[in-house]
Amino acid sequence: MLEAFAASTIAMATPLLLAALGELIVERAGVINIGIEGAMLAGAFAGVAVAHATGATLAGVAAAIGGGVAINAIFAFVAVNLAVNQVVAGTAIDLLAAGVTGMLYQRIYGATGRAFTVAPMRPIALGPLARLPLIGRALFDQSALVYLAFALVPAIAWTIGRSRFGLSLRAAGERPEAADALGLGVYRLRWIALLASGALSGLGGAYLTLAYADTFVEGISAGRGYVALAVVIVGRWNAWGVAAASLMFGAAIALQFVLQAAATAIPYQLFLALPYLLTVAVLALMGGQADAPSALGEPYIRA
Amino acid sequence: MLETRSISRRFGRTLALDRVDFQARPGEIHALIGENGAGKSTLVSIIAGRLAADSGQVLLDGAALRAGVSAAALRRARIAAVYQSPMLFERMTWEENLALGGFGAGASPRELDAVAARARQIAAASGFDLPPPRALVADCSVAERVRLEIVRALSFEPRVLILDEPTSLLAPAELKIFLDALGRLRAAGRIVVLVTHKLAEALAVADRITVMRRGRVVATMPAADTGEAELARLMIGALPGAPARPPRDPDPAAAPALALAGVTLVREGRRVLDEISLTVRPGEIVGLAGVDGNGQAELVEAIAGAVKLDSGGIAPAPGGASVAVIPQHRDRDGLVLEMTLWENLLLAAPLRARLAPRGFIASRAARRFCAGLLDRFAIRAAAGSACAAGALSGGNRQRLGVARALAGAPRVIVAHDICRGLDLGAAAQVRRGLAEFAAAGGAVLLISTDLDELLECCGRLLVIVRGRVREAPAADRDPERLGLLMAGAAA
Repeated sequence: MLEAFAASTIAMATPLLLAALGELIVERAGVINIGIEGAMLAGAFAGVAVAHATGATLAGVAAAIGGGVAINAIFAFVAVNLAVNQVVAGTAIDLLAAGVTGMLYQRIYGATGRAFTVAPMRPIALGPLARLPLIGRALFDQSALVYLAFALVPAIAWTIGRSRFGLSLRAAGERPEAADALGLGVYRLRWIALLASGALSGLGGAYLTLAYADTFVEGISAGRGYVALAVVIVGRWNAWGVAAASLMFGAAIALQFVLQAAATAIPYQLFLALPYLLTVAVLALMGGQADAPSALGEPYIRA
Repeated sequence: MLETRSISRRFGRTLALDRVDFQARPGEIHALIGENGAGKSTLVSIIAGRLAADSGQVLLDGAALRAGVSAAALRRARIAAVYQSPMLFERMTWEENLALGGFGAGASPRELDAVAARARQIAAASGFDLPPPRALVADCSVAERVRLEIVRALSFEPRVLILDEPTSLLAPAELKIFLDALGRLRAAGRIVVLVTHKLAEALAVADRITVMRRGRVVATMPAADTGEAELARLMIGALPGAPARPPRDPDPAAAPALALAGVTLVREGRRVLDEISLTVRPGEIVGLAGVDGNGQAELVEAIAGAVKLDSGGIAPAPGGASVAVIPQHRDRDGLVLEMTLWENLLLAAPLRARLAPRGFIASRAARRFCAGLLDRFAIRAAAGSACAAGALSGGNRQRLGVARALAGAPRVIVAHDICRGLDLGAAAQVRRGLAEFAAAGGAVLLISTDLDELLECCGRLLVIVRGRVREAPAADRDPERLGLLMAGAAA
């Protein structure tokens, strides 16, 4: 059972990790994107629809990236160029994505949603590592998206912390007017961050439909984008912290399955609420925003 | 040659610049002087491409510069600026801040070490010290930040270097070195534009001086052909009033209005305030001299009740209405820039008690009261009391802070670098305000790095070095001797 729990933890943590890494990038650039839930949903739908139509999983993954990027491009134009309040813009994006995916789903697959499945992404076993006891299957017998998500952690940590681009990105998130005075191009940096985040959110959505559920239902993202926002806070705006927080939330979701299966007298709805209760509890305990980028959520308008 | 042709710029209803023509030649230091709100900062922001002009042109060697220049264009044109309020990233290390400048480096340890090495070369050539390795800017003193900004500007190897009031927080020894460094830039054929309110400094270091008044250039002349009196007259249209007189000796028997006993504060294992005992009696202005970063900011925080002391006591207890504190970082700690002027007044507890009795804001009375203060302290605000504090120029913000402190009718005022960035007329007004306050029985602790200011205003003088305070003997009322004390020499 422990082996199943470990595997389930990784499976649940992966979409959170992908989305939260994207959110991490935009927040370090000073943008808070609540529309991440919508970007995941768009990616999930675009991925499954294209994979179903073409029969090619890879085409589905590419479409998911495209869906996430397209949604975030809308957000970027409204929140960066037009300097609209980012929370309002993000909420609108969430509603837009829920509406559009729901409508397209019913149009294409019928009003009740004809049940359909796509060929799932196959797990790739990494040789003898996959046969390690307890953790072998969880860590080394997963789909390519899982490996990608975890490989991105050091890559993004390095990019933000050590690279020239990351330094400029942080400058835009700390003090955009000073970054502009140095000629760093705050709008350009925020656009790049949002497009990258769109790709990652789309991949997170693709994981849900192409690697996990093998199908689509309306609202399949189920609040994971909002949990990803919490993951960034709990992870203290740092890629390694975000990875750890994703695993913690993944474990909470996995635990919920184990507890449901254990069939106790406790109503199963309580277990369903576990990840969300954990979100609230952890945020309450962490308190403060001491590590948040100074200009987080402030629209920047060039003088 | 750097040239502006008929530059105009409007902010709301204020015409900040009115057809300004300005020229600075290679190999000269050109001082730009004028009162607060005369348009100096606006002009240099436009030259540096940080602000767009409504009309007119900036030309470098005859070629027009596009407004709102990109990073690449900025580097090509090689115009670098140090602004009045430091444009640094607080939560990054100083090396990262410099890497974002002309060094154009990333943030890996290897790159940051290279940045630090080159920065130390530039700093050494200018005679500056830099903070310890990997120090966060948030932990740097104001003087350290100014030095970092200058080094960052020099890292662009600029052809034109614009300095907007850079010297107000440098210690006397540093100032001399800094002015020498400007001379070296001139010798290298660069164009240095120095915005300053210190006439003596402009006269000493500049080749030519341009005077601005109310958005217009009034005169440009060789520094050798003019003097302080003429410049002051051009700037404000009249000579500034007589300097504030040190108040009469206070009654030595009077109970102190402010008393610190053994105040100690330990931060990261260092005693930033070390057994400080001092008293300020009613009717007296006590000066506290020292090089910035020796514990002054922490002392102000302690008196304001913003930090918990490790030992010692302060009477009256911090947080009461009888002590008004004017902090050094007026933007960060003193004013809420998004709020209007009259709302900012209400942030002070004594004024709140008067203008918002029983929790309801008497907004008409507050606006009227605010308008009266603007008038009395000659604060120039385009939209009067309904103006956002952020729309005021730096000097006007400072005067608003002082006006607010005086209007609350406190018994004690603790003022930190109160005249930073103020021009002659404004500084004289602020100092006169303090002198009147003391003459009426108020007690003032004036903390400053400007020895001339302290010698002019204060009765007793104290010196703070590495968190320790001691009295400067009356015989030592001489800038040279005090400078030695500030550097830590034995009394």
